[in-house]
Amino acid sequence: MELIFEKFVLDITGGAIVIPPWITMLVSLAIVLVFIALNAMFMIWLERKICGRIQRRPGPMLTGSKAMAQFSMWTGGWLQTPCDSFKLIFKEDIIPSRVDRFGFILAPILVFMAALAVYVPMPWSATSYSQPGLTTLAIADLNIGILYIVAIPSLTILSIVTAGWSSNNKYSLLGGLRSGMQMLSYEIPMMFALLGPVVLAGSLSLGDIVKVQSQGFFGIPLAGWFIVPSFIGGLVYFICAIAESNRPPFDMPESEQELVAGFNTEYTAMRFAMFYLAEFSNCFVVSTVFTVVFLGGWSLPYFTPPAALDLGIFTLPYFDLICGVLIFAAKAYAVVLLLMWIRWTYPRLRPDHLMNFCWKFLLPLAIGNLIICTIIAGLQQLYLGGS
Amino acid sequence: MTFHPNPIAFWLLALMVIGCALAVVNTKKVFHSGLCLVGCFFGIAGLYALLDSPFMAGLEILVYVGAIAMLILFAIMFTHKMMTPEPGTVFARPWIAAFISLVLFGVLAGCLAYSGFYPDTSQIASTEMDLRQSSSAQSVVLLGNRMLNPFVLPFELASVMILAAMIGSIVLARKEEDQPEPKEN
Repeated sequence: MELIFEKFVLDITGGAIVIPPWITMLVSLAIVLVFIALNAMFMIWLERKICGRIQRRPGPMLTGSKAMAQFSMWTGGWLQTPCDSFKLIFKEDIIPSRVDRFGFILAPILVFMAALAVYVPMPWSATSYSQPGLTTLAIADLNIGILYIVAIPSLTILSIVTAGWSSNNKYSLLGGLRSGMQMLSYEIPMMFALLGPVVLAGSLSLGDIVKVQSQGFFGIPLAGWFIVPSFIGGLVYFICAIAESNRPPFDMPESEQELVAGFNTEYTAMRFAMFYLAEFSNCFVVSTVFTVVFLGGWSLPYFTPPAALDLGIFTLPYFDLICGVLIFAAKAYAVVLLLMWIRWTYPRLRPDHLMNFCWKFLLPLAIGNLIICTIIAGLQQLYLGGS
Repeated sequence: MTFHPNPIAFWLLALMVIGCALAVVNTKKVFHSGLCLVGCFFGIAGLYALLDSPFMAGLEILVYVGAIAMLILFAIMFTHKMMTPEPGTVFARPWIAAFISLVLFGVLAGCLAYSGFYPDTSQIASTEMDLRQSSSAQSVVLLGNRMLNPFVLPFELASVMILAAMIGSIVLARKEEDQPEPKEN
């Protein structure tokens, strides 16, 4: 495991300061923490605005300045989520007397741990486009990236089930059980859907998967994105991703008509905020995984940015790196928008339909996709030789 | 090329595994035992990662935490009066338990020490050079090659066994034919 960040800092300081690994770890942790909080705030604002747009209303408009509200529907109420966050921070933290304290306190910690840990192998960008042996900008480009990405969410399931059980509340318990059932089931077609690209790329590392996609497919640049050879897999992963992040139309765990608020009924203030943050963070993470595995990550066909951009006055270093991050973010947020569009368009499924859909439809489809991908990978090896 | 795992990390992980394992048998609520078991699995995954085999660590979390621990927790949630502690489960016969554990530990340690399963470091350097040099970067590829080349028969036999177990469980859990299922809408 190589801490790319460490090298990056070395590069900036010109090797003058050697940063010990624990500092780089702390710095990357802090970056991810700040990112999760800010990103969740942005996504909540976006969600409410899009929800409003779809339901033909402006969404939150009052918090923030009047001028911003008069300027446009999208800028009005821009201060709403920061205010909501402050409210959550200052609210009283209530632990009901009959709950199981150990599990009740442990669950939000676990769910946030999982949300944090998933960011470790995420390839934000390439450190250099032009070099042949390009490295990825990640906290650590694990060579088991995909496995790690699918293994960590099991911690989320565990924490949701724990929260449901320890709340000592029938609705919470049912919500937790439903959620566990749903997430465990949808994990299986999701893994099979991700196996297709793994076979095509011949690697489990997220960085390698992006690199293979940027090379094109039989000489066609855009077709190198795995959404082309493994279109069914992409579709299955996308559906499973919605179910994994517990978002409507798969939000059985917190269907409010039946279960009050599901597993987090008894949670208040920051403990509740932990679940909420983790949910939005997971929503973003599944979008990034979709981007990395199926949409070519930070790569863009016909586009290789120079290592440094000459602006006349000064040269902008790490231009390719910044471009990569921007491309990656653009793709990821496009997928996030798609997720939100689906959320506000489709009604909720019934639990038994949900299970049938997973086991009888998605799983065979995903396995079929894996077979197709294997055949394509074999043909590729036959024609192009090597690798 | 010698390989030194960080001793502090090792002792912390070992402490975590042993502590959690003790907590599994010592807590009064069965659900807490399940949670402690998860902690134990995480410690073991950490040990694998420390020994430079991240693939095993990932599988440990995926299979043990994600599937087996969840199955255990589900079973506990479905069967027990969940919130009441179980008084009878805590160390009914401590000395016998300690004796059996010690004997088991001795047998396992003896087996490992004398069977040659724990290899000599000099041997590793000569025979398994490829595995050493490539270490974690190629371990997944090597593992895959080993599974499908020299060990393909045991690998396939294991998969056939799992398939048989799956079919068996479906047959056992299936509803009888004469009981019609409630009609779906």
